[in-house]
Amino acid sequence: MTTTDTMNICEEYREAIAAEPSFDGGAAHLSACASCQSFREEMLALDEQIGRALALSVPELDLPELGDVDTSNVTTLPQRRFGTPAWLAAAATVTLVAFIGFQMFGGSLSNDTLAEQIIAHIDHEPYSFRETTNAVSDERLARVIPATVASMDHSAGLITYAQSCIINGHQVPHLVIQGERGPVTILLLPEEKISAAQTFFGESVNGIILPVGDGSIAIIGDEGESLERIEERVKNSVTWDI
Amino acid sequence: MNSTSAGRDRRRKFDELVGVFHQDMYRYAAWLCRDKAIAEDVVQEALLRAWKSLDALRDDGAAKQWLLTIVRRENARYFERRRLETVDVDNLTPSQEAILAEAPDEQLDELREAIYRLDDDYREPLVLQVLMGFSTNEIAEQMELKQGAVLTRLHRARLKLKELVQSEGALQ
Repeated sequence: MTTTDTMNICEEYREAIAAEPSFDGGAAHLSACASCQSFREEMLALDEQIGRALALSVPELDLPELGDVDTSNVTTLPQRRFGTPAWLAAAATVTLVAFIGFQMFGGSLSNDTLAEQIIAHIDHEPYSFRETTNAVSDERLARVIPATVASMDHSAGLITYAQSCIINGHQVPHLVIQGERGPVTILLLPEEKISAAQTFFGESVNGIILPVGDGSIAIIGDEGESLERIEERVKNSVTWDI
Repeated sequence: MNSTSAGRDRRRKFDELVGVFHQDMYRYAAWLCRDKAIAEDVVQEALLRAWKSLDALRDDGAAKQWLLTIVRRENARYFERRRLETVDVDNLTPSQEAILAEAPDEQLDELREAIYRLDDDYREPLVLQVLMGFSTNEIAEQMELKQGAVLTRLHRARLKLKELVQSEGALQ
């Protein structure tokens, strides 16, 4: 390789790094070029400072007068009729209204708000409970589940629904896999720390919120579904601070 | 579901979104217009617009980009409506200076001023990438540019800042 070739590679590498300091290509060149290593470190340090400089203090939220919006035109999502009874969507509602009950394993009943929010959220996405063999794409999964949260594939069960949702003020991955008795909902909650596992039962559903590191995982399925089998597989895929 | 219940759910969803993304909306607005008072107005208008069109948001995963797009448009509308000139960096108003007087950190002050003085074309993609965590592809969508143009702007923006900061001796 001539000196000119080397200079061109350095130039290209530095352009890429200056455009995106987290760029992780060009590893072979980087390991052999002290000058580019130094440039990269400089860019990363600069970026850290740029981030701090940009993080202006934010005044307290002052919501404007929002006024009424005519929600009569808002189409609520259709309650689909499944091959099996429209079990889970309806059951979730019933669960929220009347039947929710918690069994704690060694903890106090302090997190019912989270469980209620989970059930309420599931109730609003009944279309996720489809019995289907159509898996979501790997690209979709990668978009919904950040690598820092979990590394999931279809080994825990065929993933047929993946959506970023907001629960308790946090954006979280909402997945549905196909269990033995029907669809099973999985919510990865890296920012919801709980001290002990919590189970909850409804008329036709059973669910559990499991502590995992500084977060938790919620798994909700049909009352006959064996969640333990799924629990282990999902826990093993999670990569946040366990 | 009746309309009252739908209205409550709608409001709850809106409150959740605002709770999560208000800081990002404000900071993006502030760096777009480089004026704290105007940024607050822009965010207020953006919140109203978001509330009215909330039903258009189908994917919560796209909420941040959706809200920031609204902020961007409201910022443009704000300046159109008032026929305001863009910021004269040599003659700042107190509200504009407030951004530069953000934190008593000499090292960051230099850099913040350098960012403030960057052309809009360079500053905006930098804010979206560093502060908002957008990929270059998402920045291209947001700014309606080709990805190559975004990469070029980011590259030039950093080199300008590096030069400036090094000449000030601020970067350790």
